[in-house]
Amino acid sequence: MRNLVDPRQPRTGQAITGTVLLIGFVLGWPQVLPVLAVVLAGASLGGPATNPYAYLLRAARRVMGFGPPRELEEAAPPRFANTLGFIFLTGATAAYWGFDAHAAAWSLGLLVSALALLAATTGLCVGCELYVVARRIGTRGRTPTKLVVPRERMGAGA
Amino acid sequence: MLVRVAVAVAALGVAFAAYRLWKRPPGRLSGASLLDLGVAGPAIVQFSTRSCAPCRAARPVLIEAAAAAEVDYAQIELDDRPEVAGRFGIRSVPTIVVTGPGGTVRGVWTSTPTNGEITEAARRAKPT
Repeated sequence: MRNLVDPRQPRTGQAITGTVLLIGFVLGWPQVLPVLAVVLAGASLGGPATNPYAYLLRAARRVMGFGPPRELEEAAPPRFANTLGFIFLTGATAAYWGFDAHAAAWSLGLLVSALALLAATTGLCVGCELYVVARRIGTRGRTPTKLVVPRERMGAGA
Repeated sequence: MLVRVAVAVAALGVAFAAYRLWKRPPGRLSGASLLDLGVAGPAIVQFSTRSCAPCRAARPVLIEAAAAAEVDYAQIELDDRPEVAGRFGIRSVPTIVVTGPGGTVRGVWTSTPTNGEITEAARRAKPT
C-alpha cells in the first residue's frame, strides 16, 4: 500500500509557503528563501516525521476540531512538489548570497510562490502533475493517475 | 515597495492566466461526434478520472440535470481510455459536454456548470 496523506495537508503547506514567500518579496526579506528551503527540505526528504506542515495540520485539527478528510491521496506527488520547491529555493538562496543575483533569486522565489498559491486556491499542483506525468511515462501508462482512496475505503492512516 | 507589489501582482496574474488557459475548453471537442464512444443522442457526458474529486462531486448534479432535461447521462473514464483525452485534447477533468442528435457535441465546460445552466443546454440540444 502506498503512503497516503490528508489532501488538506499539502494545500495548507502550499498556502503558507506561497503567502510567506510573497510577503517576504514585498517587504524585502530574503531570509524567507533559506528558511522555506529548510522547511521544504524537511517536508520532502524526511517524509511526514520531519514535515512541519503535517504537525501544523494535526495541531489545527485538534484545536479546531475539524473531522477526517473525505478521501486520502497518494503522498508521493506532493512530496515531489516539495522537493522541487526545495531545489528552487536552495537555488534562490545560493543566487542571493552566493552570487549577489538578487533578481534571479527573487524570480525563483516568486515562481515557487505563484505555483504554491495556485495549487492552494485551485488545486492544480504543477509539481504533483509533473510527478504523475513522469510516472505515466515511466510505467508506459500502467499507472495513469495519482491514487485517491475515498473515506469509506480508508484502512490506512495518513 | 510599490514596484515589488506590482511585480508580485504581475507574477500571480501570469500564474492564474496560465491556469485559465489550461482550463480552456478543448477546441477539438466542439462539434465533434461521440458516436463511436457510445453516445448516440442527446446526453450529458462527463469525462473524468478515478482520482478526480470534483468529478465525483459533479456526478450527482449532472445525473439530476440529465433527468430534469430527460436526456441520458454518460461518464467516460479517461484512466481506461487515455487515447480519448489525446484525440479531443482534454487537458483537465472534469470536462463536461452536452450532445445533441448523433452524439454531436453542442456545449463544453471544464468545471461543473450550475444545474440550471446544464439542464437548459441539454434541453436545447434535444430535437424539437
